[in-house]
Amino acid sequence: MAMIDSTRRSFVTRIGGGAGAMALLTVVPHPASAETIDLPERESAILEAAFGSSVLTPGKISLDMPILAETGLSVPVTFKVDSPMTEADHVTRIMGFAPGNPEPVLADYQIGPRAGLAEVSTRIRLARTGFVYAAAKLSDGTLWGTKFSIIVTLGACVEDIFDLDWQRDAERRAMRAEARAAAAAE
Amino acid sequence: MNIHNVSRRKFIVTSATAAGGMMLGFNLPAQAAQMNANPWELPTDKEGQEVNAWLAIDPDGTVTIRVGQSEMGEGVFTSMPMIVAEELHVDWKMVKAAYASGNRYLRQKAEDYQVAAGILNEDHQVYRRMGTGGSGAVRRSRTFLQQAGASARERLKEAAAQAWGVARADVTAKDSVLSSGNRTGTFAEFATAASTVALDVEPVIKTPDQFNLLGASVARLDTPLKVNGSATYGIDIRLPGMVYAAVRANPVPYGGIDSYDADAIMGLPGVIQVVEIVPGEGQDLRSGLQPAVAVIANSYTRALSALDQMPIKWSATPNDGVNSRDLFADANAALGMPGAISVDEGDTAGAIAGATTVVEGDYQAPYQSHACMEPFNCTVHITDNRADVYGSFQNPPGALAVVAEQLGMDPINVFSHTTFLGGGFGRRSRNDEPRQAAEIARQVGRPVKMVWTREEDMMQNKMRPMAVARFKAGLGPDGMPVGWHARVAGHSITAHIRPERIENGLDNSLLAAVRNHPYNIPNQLVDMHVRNSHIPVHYWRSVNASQNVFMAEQFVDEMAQAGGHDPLDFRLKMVEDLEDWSLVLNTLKEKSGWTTDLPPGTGMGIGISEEFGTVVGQVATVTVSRRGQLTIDKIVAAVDCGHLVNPAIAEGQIESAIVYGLSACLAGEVTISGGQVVENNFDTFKVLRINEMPIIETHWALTGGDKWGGLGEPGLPPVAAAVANAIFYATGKRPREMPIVHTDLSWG
Amino acid sequence: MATIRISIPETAAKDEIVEIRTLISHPMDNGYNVDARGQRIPRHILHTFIVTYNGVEVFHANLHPAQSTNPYMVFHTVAVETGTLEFTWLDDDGSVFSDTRTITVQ
Repeated sequence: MAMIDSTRRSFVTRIGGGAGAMALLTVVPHPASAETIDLPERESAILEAAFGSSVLTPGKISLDMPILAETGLSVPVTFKVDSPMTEADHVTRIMGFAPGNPEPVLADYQIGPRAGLAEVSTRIRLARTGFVYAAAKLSDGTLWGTKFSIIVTLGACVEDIFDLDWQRDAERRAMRAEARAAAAAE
Repeated sequence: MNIHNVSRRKFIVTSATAAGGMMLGFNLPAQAAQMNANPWELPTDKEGQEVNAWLAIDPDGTVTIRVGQSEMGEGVFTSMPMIVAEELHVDWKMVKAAYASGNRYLRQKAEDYQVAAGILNEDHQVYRRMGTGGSGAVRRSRTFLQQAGASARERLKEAAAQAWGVARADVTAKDSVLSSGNRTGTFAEFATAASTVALDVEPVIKTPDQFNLLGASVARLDTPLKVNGSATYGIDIRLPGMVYAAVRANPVPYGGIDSYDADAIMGLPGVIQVVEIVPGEGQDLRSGLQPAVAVIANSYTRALSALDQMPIKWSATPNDGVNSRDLFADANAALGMPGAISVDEGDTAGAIAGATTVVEGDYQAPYQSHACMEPFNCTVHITDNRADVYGSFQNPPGALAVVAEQLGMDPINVFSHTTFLGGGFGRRSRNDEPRQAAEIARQVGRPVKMVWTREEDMMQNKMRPMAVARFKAGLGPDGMPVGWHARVAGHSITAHIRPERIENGLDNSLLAAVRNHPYNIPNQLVDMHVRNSHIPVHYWRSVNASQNVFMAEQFVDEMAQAGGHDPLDFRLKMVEDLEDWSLVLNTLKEKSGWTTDLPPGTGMGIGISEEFGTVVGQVATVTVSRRGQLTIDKIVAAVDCGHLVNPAIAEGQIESAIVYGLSACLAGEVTISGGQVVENNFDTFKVLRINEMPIIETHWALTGGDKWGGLGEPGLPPVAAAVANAIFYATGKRPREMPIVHTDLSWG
Repeated sequence: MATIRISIPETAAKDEIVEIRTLISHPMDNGYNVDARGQRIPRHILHTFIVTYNGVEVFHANLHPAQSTNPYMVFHTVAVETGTLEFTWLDDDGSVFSDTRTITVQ
């Protein structure tokens, strides 16, 4: 019996599909990511607490996910770390973050040499267009990271459609409150 | 003789005449060549030399300017290229418009892509923001389109300067010609060289006082195609080997399928297959995919005929008993309870309690259909490692994304091809149809064109929400308001799309014009209740303002009347510290011949609102017979959107908003019975007929400066209020309910 | 009750890396959705997923509100010996969902 419906099967095929599809999935890294993985403050603090440090070296870990999602309700993602996964040299923990989410932690996996392969796939929710970060801690204590930019089309559209009108409303109300306070003072 | 040229000329003459006494600009000569009837394709066979992502120059000098928004009648295929052309100094006769590629949009970042940590938005993509909504085409794209044109112009000048051994400052660009001293060259000659030029500093874009092209009523580039019938809409798509799908979902939205008998129709002529659409796990209402069954045949007629003959038993749902009367009763009951507070300034209850006069009014508005002229459709072609999706998309990258999601493909291998749109009004930004078409095509394994019947289109629509409101105000001894309490209960779009933006039951978007009105009232309380049903909702041209302005602006008239004030002067007094609102109201007063002193059965009424940065006021003149027959004689609009790109197109936007708004306020409504939409075709869903169309005058009251307001939607909300207020002055009766047809207007 | 679906090879060669896929039906209410009255639906998620192999933990996931409805997970383990894998999900409300699979190492 198929555990998954056919839609999902094609998704799984893609994830596990190897070379062909995979090469296209891996997106051109953001220029800044070559030197540094600059996690925002909130995410740095979480990583600091979990890994003992938030200084990530770019490399070893990769994020495979689509570069575009319509609703962000269920976005496929694969965290993969280049590691032999031996007793002497393995990944101990993988974390993922989306700073655009109200709660930024996407994933937090503890694995070890018994995994054989440092690769986990799942589906996550993304509230808006932005970066997704991945971090891995290795058995030698080193920390590695990467980031990936994804467009969430529906979320971003709703985000700012009315901003201009609400901003004007706030300005008018502030202006009048000031005028009233000034009139009262006289 | 060339028929379509004649037609186009007539059209231009018509729009110039309609412009009446206002700034007319000038009509440039007809453009040399048409756009491509398939707007997603380049207009010429050969790809021109791209100077930047926005424009390509062909050897013959044709400049193709790419447009990120979708052409649904609002004129983006003309106004957006005009913005680029203004800076490019191209000969406008050589300009063609084409859609920007949705696929490229997601592959490529903008040249100046720079982001701070974690802060990234769609504007960092090569075409910045694709998709059409929020009246944002000009409003939100102007600066980067101007920059794209200016940047290309300076690169062309630099290329010529290098070739001629002169300084760039000594090269001028005008009408596609570069010149320096006695040397001249065309844009086409230097396009290749320009594409490799790197500028040290990007040029500064023009300010409105430097515009030459912007502000002119240039003829629309898409008109010839639409007049001669060659423009390709989604419903016109034909692909080799294509089959057709007729689809039907449970008439109770999101209800399931109990059973269907495919065998009963498999022998019918042309029938190929029956496909069942089963939403995957986790595909809830927001995914837009609902259980449905589709018949595939070698012609649409055969597919539809077979679908009609196939026995289908729909599952019972918890919503089978839902009806509009109960939904309104529930929402009206909520008006009796304190709601989530949006604004609470001063002591509103105290001010009203101590007021000289207290005014109260209740209003309601139903679910409303978009009723796009072109029924929903989408064509999907899947090959080994690629999918192509064709349709009338307001949000092409979104269409691409849902197809990718549904097929489990990488979006990079999905290509969206946007056609002309036969109406959008927000409905075509939802992208439920590409998902459904993709799922059908996946099962069929051939190119499939899916078309909804009118009935399917209206019964499975994602509606403008219903809402009710209660207003209470206190007036001081001078008849001016001292306290304003507004309470709204209605269906929340945000609850479906971005629920995390609702805090403690508060959805501010339900309060457009009820909270963010500009009237200077010292004590204000605005609260609200979310009251959702199973009816799916989505954006409808001008969104919640479409019903809220009908309510709030009628109540403003009720206050004026109770306080003994002229309604226009009453409003002026409350916005005297706002330049733009005052200008719009004064313009209306002057241009409409404003008076409340008209014979019985005749009335003038006003409505005004601000949306997407644009203030629009309208005065309606109506005649009502003693038996209650309503005639809208005239609508005069005054508009402050700051600046105009193309006055003729802008005027068309205001007129079109008024037509659409009038349809909704006079007779258009969606009622629910047995959980289903009742009005499923134009026999029951009324739209404005040509003989009901009033004279419309649009006057620009532009404050200029930094203001660049939107125009697609802000023209709509005031009309319903203006008409309702006019009816009151004609008859003494106030239509508190949308559509107005529900109110008996007989008098005397 | 939660429906659990687990895909794992019934047999494997000694020290072969096998892929495991799991899916459990759960709303994963993230605490940000609202009901028809605009009121928050409280957070209710599976917060932990643990996999043991003959009693030894081989995969441990702390799940968060960003996890999509019906958590789906693909991960790996080395088929070290014939035995039982136990899959356990811990719910915010204290419920524990678990299932087992056996693998024969040849």
